[in-house]
Amino acid sequence: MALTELSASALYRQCELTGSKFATTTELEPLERPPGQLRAMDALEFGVDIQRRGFNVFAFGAAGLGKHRLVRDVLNRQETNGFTPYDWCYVSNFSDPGKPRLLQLPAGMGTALSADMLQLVEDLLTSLPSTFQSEDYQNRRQEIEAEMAERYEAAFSKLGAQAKERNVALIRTPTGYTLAPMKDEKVITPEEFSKLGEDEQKAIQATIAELQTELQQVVVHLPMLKREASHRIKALDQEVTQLTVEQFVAWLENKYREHEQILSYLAEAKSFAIENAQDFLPGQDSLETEFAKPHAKSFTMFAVNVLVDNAQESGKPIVFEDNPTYQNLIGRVEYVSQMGTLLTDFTLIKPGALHRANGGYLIIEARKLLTHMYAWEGLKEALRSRQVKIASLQETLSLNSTISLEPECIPLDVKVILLGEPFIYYMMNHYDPEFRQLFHVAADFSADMPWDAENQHLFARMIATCQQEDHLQPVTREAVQRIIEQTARWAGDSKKLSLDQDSLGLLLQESDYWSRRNSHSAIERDDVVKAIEEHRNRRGRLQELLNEQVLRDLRLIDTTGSRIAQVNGLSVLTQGDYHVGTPARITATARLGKGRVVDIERESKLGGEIHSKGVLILSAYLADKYASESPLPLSASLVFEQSYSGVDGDSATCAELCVLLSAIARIPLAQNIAVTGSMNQFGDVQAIGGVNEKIEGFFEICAARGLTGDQGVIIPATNQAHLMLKRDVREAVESGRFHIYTASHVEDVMSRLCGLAAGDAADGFAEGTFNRRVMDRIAEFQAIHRSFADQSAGEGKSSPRPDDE
Amino acid sequence: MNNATANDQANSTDRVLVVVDIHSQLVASLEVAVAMAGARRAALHGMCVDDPDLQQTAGLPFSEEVMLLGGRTRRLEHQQLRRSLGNFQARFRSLLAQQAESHSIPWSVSTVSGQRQVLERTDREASDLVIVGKPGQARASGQAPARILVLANDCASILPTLQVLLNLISRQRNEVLLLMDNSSEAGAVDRLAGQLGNSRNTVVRPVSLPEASRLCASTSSPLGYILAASDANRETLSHILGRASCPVILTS
Repeated sequence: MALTELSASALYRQCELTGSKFATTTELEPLERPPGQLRAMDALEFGVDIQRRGFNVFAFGAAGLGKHRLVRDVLNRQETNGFTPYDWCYVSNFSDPGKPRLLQLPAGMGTALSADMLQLVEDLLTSLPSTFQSEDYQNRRQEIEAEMAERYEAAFSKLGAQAKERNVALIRTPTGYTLAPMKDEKVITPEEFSKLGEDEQKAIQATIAELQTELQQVVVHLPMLKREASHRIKALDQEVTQLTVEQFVAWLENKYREHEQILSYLAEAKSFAIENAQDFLPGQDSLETEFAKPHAKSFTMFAVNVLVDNAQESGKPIVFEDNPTYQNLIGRVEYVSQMGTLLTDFTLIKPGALHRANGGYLIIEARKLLTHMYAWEGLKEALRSRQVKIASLQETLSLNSTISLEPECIPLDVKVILLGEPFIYYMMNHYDPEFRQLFHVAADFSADMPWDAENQHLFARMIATCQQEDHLQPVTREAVQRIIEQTARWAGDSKKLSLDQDSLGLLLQESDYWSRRNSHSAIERDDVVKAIEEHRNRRGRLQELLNEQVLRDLRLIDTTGSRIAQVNGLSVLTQGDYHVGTPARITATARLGKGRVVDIERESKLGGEIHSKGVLILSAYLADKYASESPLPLSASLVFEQSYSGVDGDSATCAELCVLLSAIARIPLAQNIAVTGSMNQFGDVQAIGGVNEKIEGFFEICAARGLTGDQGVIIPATNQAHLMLKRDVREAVESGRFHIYTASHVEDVMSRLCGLAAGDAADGFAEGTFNRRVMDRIAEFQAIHRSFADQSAGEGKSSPRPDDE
Repeated sequence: MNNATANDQANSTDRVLVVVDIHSQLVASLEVAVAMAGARRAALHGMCVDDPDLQQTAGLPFSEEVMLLGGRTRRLEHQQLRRSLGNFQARFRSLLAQQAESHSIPWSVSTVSGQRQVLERTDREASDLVIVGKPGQARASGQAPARILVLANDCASILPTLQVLLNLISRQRNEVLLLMDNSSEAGAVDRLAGQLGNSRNTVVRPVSLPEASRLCASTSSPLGYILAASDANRETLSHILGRASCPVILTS
């Protein structure tokens, strides 16, 4: 089958918009949802609706497809059935302050309870001091103290009286008491004592020793008295406190009578307040400064930390966490520095996105989630356990063992929707078994949709939607057509329309800009063309640089004449979303050898695996075609000349085979034709990517040097549908100054390049065909090879190795 | 009482005598003593009372001391006792000198050996104002009123001294508790309140002896000072002196 030359009309598909009658987009009804994502929409709606464990959603697709917006639209349309999320609060655990208690309350009740507790403290601060200042309390306390003092005094008085009866005086010392013998009611002096008889002295000492024992018992008993007084005073304090505290707490208990959690908490708070009533009294400093007076807000143990306040919310919460660090997801416990120490309490617990989304939906960018340390692990843990445990990352990783809070875990009921590129989804799916258990639903977003009449009308409405949402000028019908054609160019397929929302939005905004600059009342076709050209110009520096290198012969590319073992291949350089096509010189050498085709790119580690695969395929083709029954007696090498940044892909396989055949058979190849196309082992030409950029890259070089009228590009036949070439290329083709050919078999390509027919294998390839010349050349190599072998045998040496690789 | 009368009284005072022993709370005693001496332009004399019985007991070969802290016993050493007393006396002298000199008050200190109780009850000779230091450090808490227990049948005699005390305390709320013989009680409270200027900061009210006793032992709402006039009932005064844990001011 020979090459097919394409007409200009086959190089670009015009948008006709038949069936759609409008002058500008103002006449079009906006779309509620972007078109072409039915599969993804169905998956999203299913994933969001199903209320089963593990049915979280991963929405994947290329960037710019509007995943986030679609997800939000689906979520916003969910029936809430009057659902209102809970308030989540932490309160003090009075029995174990290190483990704050959790309160799950109806929406809005958290803030109300917080205010009520603050008011309770203020009421106690006002009332309790008054209670302790009351006459009744003072009298009762004084009675206790007086009684204790009397008992204290009585103990010593009794002992003193007993001692006096036995002529012993009880005397106070600086640190206690001592006993001294008396005579005539006066303490005996040491001199008087020494004059006493021995018996009398012993008797006195014995008496004093006996009384001293009793004195000791009295002294030892004193702390008991003090403790008894302390206990009785404490009991009195609790009694009077209880009356006051119960009075205020009763009001709260009545208000929250239907909430068991709150009632339980209030009971504990009440007991704590009664036991610690002294904390509500002003300080002991006689200077009554504001600093000394306790403030309601300093009573943090009675505070309510409203972690999530849904008072203003209705329906299931939809939370998008833009910075999904571990702490931003799980929450954290903060610390404050006080006199060189880090302190914390339950009021410093901060919520994470999981808390805010509890009962609803949490949307996260997968890439960001994976780039933050332990964030993914933390999220999985929460989803697996269906609860959120707030702990620092250091604690989770056992990096420190300092005492910190252990807040009660919060039950978690959330649907997580991850957004990301396809490779992230597949990578997680492949490497993380837990991912599959937790994310059963995949919402696969299409990058494009078929270009048919119905879809192009939908696309026009989508343009109208963007125009109206972004408050742009109306878009004329002709401009819409041009935009639709451009999206096909983005899709790299004349039968498809790209669904890249970002690019569409940018194009519309830039077109709007040019429209306004040109004082148009609507965005016209020329404005769109201008926007496209200007956009291309802004990004065109690399293309210019590459072209300049060729035009200045810094990179050698021939576009006329013919050369043996040299052909123009075509390559595409990709920088992000920008693709640049440029010709590449491919050369080959062939020599006597053992059938190996050396891929110099691979040998120098500049060739990718796919490129290497292509070289192996053409090697197989070569061997099968020309040496199926005998060893291939040659070695060859292929290289992309002046390529230093790496080569991958198999789109140059056809060109490489042609140049190799040229090198073997010493057949010149035309340099005015560039070739692109993959190839299988049977020589069939297969489709490649970037066909538009590749053609345009070669065209620009030829056009810059002056089109000769015989220049062109050979592409795979299966790539014809992908053609959406620029106007200048189409015009050159229209005027016969440039040519685009399609090929289905590599022999057609070779034939066009060398100007010789391929020949028929059935008749052994006729003379003058290129296959014949290849066969002849191989036969020559075989003869040389045999002569070497014979020579070596004759000399008794092992066969020399002409191509020692 | 007008200022002229107060001045007359002041001019008639030779000394303010502050009597302490080793158990007395020095700061509170000296504070009020200096205030009184300053108001009366009198000299200040500190009297440190030494218990001779204790000294003699320490000289006995078998004497031991039972300590209040834990009930342990130890030998009552004469030398150790002298040291403790000496340290106390030195501290008393130092504090008194410091406070007197800061207010430009002439001062002197002496050590007396004897029963303090006897000294407390005998008629004073040169001084007409005696401050008796008492053990205990009870102070009224921040919001509680300062309390002064007055033992007097004729409040006019103690009014200047009471005013000096109230100025010294200078709290937002003061309570003057009047303990009188029954026969003298009628109208005395109102009169005293009137004489104090009917200040809203100072409340005057009568108290009974039992209540006064309780207040002497109270730690939550203790007495700040006890002020006894020379016409105070002796038994009542003795009863209160035995229980007081704050400085006692005896006027002439």
